[in-house]
Amino acid sequence: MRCYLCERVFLPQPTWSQLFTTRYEAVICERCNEQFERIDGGKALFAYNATMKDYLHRYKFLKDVALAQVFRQDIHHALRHRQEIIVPVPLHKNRLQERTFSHVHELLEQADIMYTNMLMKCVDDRQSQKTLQQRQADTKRFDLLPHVPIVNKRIVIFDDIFTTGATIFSIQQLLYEHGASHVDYITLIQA
Amino acid sequence: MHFLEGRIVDTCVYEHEAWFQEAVAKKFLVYKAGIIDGQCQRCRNTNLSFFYTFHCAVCEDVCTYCRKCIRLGRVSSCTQLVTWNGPPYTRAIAHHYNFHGQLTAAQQHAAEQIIDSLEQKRGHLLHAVCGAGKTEILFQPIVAALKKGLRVCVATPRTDVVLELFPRFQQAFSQTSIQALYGGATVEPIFAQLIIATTHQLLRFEDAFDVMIVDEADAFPYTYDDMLQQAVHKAKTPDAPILFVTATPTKPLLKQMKKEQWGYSFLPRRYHGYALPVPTMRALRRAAKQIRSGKIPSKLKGWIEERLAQQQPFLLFVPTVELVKQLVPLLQQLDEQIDGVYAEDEARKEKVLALRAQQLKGLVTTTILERGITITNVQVAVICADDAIFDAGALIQISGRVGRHQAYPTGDIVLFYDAITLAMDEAIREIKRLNEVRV
Repeated sequence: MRCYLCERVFLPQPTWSQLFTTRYEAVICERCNEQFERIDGGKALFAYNATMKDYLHRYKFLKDVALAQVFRQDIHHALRHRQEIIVPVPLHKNRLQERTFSHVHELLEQADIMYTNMLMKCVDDRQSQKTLQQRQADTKRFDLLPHVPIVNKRIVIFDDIFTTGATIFSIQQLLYEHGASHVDYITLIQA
Repeated sequence: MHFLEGRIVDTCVYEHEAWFQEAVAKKFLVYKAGIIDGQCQRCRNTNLSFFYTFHCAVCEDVCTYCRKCIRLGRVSSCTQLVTWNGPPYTRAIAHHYNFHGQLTAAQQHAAEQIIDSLEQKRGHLLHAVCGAGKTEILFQPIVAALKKGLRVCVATPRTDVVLELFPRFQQAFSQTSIQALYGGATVEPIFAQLIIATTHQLLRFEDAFDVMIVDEADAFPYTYDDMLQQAVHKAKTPDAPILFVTATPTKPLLKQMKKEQWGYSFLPRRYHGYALPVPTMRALRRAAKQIRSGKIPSKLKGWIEERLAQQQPFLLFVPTVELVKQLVPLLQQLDEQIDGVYAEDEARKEKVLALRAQQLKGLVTTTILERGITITNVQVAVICADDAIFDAGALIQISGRVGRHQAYPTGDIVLFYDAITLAMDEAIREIKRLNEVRV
């Protein structure tokens, strides 16, 4: 196996849990894996550090879709027993054309997590280029897709990174307004 | 518009530029798909493990892309690459170079040998010790080629070497349009007749250069990565000669030279005529462990304090980035004007300049600064010199940082080791041998 991040050839270490449970094969070597900072028991799986910054750059901006597989075990583990409906945060259609894939959906696909599309993004903007004030002043960046039942549903929002929470909280509010009974969220990274 | 000449680029990147649209309107461009028959058309990779197939939202179909050259921007099966097929740019032939020093007899002789080889379109190896003045030797052959209207490329595996060479070439060739290409460089979209680039960036070229110069040809990752060696051959025209320049030629390179009957210039003396500094070896047990536990090994501390007392700038080579990060805060307790650099450091360019300008007293570094760096009166130490990363070539290059200036032709180079390795022995033997060669 060749590590997706450092391109070194490595041998995945076979473990007992791999033999008896369904674990995904590792796509990055142990050395690269150690560089990521895992968080236990929070609403995010990883902390944001230099390695993660480089990962996101390569995944989202250099469009290296293969890297969606790097965290499939972690995402699978975190979401597989959730009873709620999992709703990924979508990209604007212009951005999707530019990137050729939706990075949030791809993470779930690779981790074999069932999800439901409920939202659409109606403004083509980038959170990463705004200040906290600008983010909080924003109104109505997302809308609901037509004909999706929401009333009395329990929902988990999934996104790649939680920075100020502006995106997540506005979606949470939107879903509550339309009758969802409980809206939780989980992100891959906590900035 | 002539920026595109010799290049192979992704249409998406430039399609909104006026000059690109002009080239399209005049039908000067040839289009091809990014991946054809399982081969990446930019880096020529055919290794299946570097291809990845996914569902592309633009094509609404499956697309395959190449992960081998992804750092230069993704090339996938739906990418449209373009190459230039228009009339060639009218190249300037009025070039001259400003060089105020005087070449030594040996340097002049080497320059003439190189000009001769390039005229005959045969390969050449310039084997010159660190501090022999390799860059100055290159000026005459380059200007001779430029005057004939040829396009010249100086390629090197290291970004730091590009950063070091570019200002020197700019100063020397003030009338020539020169571009420096490396990851993260801002590139003006114009035709440049002289290009200084990392070997990675050569992947963006095809059939472009009439003269190819590969500086530091033995440096990592060039010798290690086939893609980069292919990139050099792809970027030049088929009959363009390659000039390899290095202080430490590898065995395969020497063998290739003999086989293909290249020209060969050998300069065993530095330009100022003084001998190469021979490293001294000092035992320093468990250095990495001591540093990890927050303690500066006392021998190392003594060496650094002496440098600080004598106000000599110093470079401290360590095998890993972690050691740089651990050692820097410890050394800053001795003196705040000590810092560290490694490949991912965004300020590495500024830090080297700061050391040269004496704003910093010392720099802890990984092997990224082993070559191409000239700092007046610098003193050097290597910690964990027995680490596998320091092969004989690397140690010779590191020793070559010392005593490069005419006014300070000697200096201290210490290898702190836990165990003596063959590489250390070989490096010292080679330096001594070079010092004894009669000129």
